[in-house]
Amino acid sequence: MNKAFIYSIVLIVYLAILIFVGLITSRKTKSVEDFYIGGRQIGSWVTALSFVAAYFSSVVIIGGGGFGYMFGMSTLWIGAINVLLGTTVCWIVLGPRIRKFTQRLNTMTIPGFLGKRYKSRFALMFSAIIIVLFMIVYNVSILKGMGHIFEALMEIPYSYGVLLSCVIILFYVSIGGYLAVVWTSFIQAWIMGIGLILLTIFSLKAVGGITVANQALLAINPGLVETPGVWGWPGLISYALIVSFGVWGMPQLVIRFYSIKDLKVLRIGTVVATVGTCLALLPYFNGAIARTLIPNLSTPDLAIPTLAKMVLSPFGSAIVLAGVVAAGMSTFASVLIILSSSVMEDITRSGLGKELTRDKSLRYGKIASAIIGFISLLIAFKPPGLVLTLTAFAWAVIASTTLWPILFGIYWKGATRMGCIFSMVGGCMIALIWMILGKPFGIHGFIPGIIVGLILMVIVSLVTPKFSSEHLKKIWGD
Amino acid sequence: MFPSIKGLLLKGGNMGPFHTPWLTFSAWIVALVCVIFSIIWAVWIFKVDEDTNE
Repeated sequence: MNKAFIYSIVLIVYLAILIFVGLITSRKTKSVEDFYIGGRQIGSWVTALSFVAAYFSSVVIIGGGGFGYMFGMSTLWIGAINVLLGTTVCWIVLGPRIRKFTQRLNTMTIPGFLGKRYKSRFALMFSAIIIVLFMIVYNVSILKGMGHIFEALMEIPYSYGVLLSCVIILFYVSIGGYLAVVWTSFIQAWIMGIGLILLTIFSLKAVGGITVANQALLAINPGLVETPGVWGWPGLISYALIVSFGVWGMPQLVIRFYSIKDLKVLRIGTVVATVGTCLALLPYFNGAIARTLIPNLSTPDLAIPTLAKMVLSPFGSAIVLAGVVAAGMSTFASVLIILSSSVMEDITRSGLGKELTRDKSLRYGKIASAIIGFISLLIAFKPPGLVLTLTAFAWAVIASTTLWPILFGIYWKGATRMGCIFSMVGGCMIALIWMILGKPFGIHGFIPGIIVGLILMVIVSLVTPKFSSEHLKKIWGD
Repeated sequence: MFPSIKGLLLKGGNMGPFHTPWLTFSAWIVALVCVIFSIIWAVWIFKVDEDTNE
């Protein structure tokens, strides 16, 4: 049977399941709170695995494989730091307090929380605009990746691939909202997990085991099995930190803590999310193995798709590649719902003071997600160079803007309005300028961004007026 | 089999399991320790007030 035909069948079945989930969840989405945070009724397994799926965009699987191919086994540390900082510590440190504080302040979004915690419309608007601007370019990059995957798998033109994936995501997000996002992400996490485990088992079988793979890499270049190896410490550490610590400021991931049913969800959720994120090591590992099996790839990003086609049956490689598509779709959908909430709840309602009835809010929220998705689609058809350049900045800029105000906002009563504003603007600007300067010393813009943001938050908070005890009591509840 | 400081810090001088330098192999150990710690935290450390759910 033709390989493209098998890939097409697997992908069509997978896409049909997503549409079905969208239809089911649309019946349960009745209020604005349902649409943006699932009515705060999401259980532990769905929360945890949807967190994992939103964390892994196709960039992590395809790009992670590419990094493993280029830099070897030292890139396993990126996956390990993802597990440690990006998931376990993140869930323990942020989860309980974010859930409690956002419920007390009755907020559904990150900018909404910052606006109420720091009593600052500027903090709300600035963070919302940064999120909207940089999340759209992030979405364009995800769509672009999916377009290329569909192009390679189903042998259809790039623009059809972009259109197909975007229309299906738009369909289930705009009718089912957050519930559709978490339930489809839950399914997508399983597909990604099964695909990555299958790929690892068969890659090891093809290469002859881990020891043989390491010996083969040593023969190519000892730096491919050593740490930091051929990449070097600055690049390895700054990249691992941005994709791990950066998570603490990424709205599409932090929002998972808003939506949990109760705090007990965090108990099982933390374990499930930690185990799930351990899969993050596998793309890097498989990328390094691909270096021994396919030494002359034209581009490292082809490592995972080429390896899958080489070591698995057509059906098996279709599952792996459906996992890559799933990773992209779950992240795109999560980002889309965040964008819709930022535009409607933060900028329109809280920022510009436009009051809407609950029905209108829900309807406009659905329309907003469709319009934002459509804008992303139009840009993704032929992304200008600027969008691709900004994509590399997106995580750094968003995380540098929101990370400290969120963290200090839930742990330090002394964090002030001006501290938040200076930290946001300073962190964001430094991250941007550093990236525009071409990452001096090989260090990613996120590192100077968060260092400056931290210093500004602490120093400015110490010298500016504190919040009243009534305001702090409302947030801390003591 | 056990790592020396030199092996850990000076790259690949002391091979761990599967012919992997200990510093590289430690990435797997870190992931495993996270799983174990998350279980310990969930079972013994994390407390929720049943009355207030906080």
